[in-house]
Amino acid sequence: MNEKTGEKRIGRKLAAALLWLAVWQAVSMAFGRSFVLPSPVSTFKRLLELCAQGSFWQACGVTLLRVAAGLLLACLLGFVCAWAAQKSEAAKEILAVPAAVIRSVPVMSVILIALLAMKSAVVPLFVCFLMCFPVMYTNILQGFESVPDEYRELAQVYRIEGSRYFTKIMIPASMGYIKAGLSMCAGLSWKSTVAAEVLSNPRISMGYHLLSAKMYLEGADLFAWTVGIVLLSVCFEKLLKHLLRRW
Amino acid sequence: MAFSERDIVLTRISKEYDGQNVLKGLDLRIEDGRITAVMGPSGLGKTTLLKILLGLEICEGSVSGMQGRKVSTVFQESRLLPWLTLKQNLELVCGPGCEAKIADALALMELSDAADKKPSELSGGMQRRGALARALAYDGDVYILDEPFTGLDEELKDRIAGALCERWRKEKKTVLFVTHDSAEAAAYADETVRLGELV
Repeated sequence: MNEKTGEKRIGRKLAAALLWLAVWQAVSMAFGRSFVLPSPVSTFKRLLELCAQGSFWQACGVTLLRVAAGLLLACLLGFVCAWAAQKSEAAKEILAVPAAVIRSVPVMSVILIALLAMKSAVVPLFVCFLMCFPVMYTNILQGFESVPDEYRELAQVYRIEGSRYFTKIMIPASMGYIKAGLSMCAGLSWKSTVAAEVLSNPRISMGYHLLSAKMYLEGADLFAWTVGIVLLSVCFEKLLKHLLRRW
Repeated sequence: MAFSERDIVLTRISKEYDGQNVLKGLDLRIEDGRITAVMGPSGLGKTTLLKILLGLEICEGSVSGMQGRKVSTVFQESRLLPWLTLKQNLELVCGPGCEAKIADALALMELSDAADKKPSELSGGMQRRGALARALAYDGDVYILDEPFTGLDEELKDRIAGALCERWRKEKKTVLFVTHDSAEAAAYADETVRLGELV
């Protein structure tokens, strides 16, 4: 019964994907200009060609590293700040201001401001960190604040303090909120990093190739890199979810 | 009756919630090294009294004899952390290097086979025994227990409570436990306090 339901679900997903590919093909044929809207066939053919080149994987690897490093930094600082905020109302008030400001500042403004102060290779990492930080901070803080009183009392009576309290009670009890934050950041981190790469244009990056393809009106290249980014982003999110499931 | 400096003494304890008195001017002495049962109808503040002794509730009046003492407790709910196994729950409270204490506590509670199970895999009675095993492994000077034998069938309760009381008497632990069951109080406690008569 379950196997059948699973097969049906996969079948429905495949059918939906095929439908949208057919729509893409039809629109591309109707448009007639392959440098503006290449067909799915030429896009995937170009993607396969790119996959055979070392520079493609190098760019993917470096962008992936920037995403992972930015997200990791956002998580670490999110933990530190959330810990401080749940310990002190004053710290919470102080941290609420930058968290709210960062959340509402357009990503393009952040990139342009960062470009004035940093090397182009560092800007994407910094932007990824800055975009993910308020999401992680808010979610971790919510998680910490939602630790049930019964666990706090248990820790108080049995003198479970410091790092033992943090790692054995606080983090596991907040895991639902932390997972939700990471899930939100998985997509956001890729979008902000690639956007920053396009504007800051470091030589080894997916954003650099994306911009080059646009400048030389290589529609198939532009779409192939975009599909590559989407696929990597989806794989990254799935890997993150898989790792988090162990907790 | 000979009083000891280590007796736990509650003097004129009052506690109110939303303007309603739960405890009013309670005076109570819990003798050191003895097992005391607290009885009384629901809503008379038995659990509140335990929380005051554990330092989890602020109240009017004074409590002496609890400062600096290591306290093992069983709350009204078992409060085993669901993400840890039973053994890890015990390790959490007693820290590293207490494998022997953990093994002993689990054996006494007849839970050795369930050591690697998560609380969700245990029945209500086993969770209760798990909470008792955690209190034992922590090895406090004072035991504050809120209905510790709830959910255990009679035969198991007799066996486990009997073994526990024997050990506590031997080690001269100060034990205070809440119960609704007068037979339980009569069977295991050296002294019974009826809260309704004191308040």
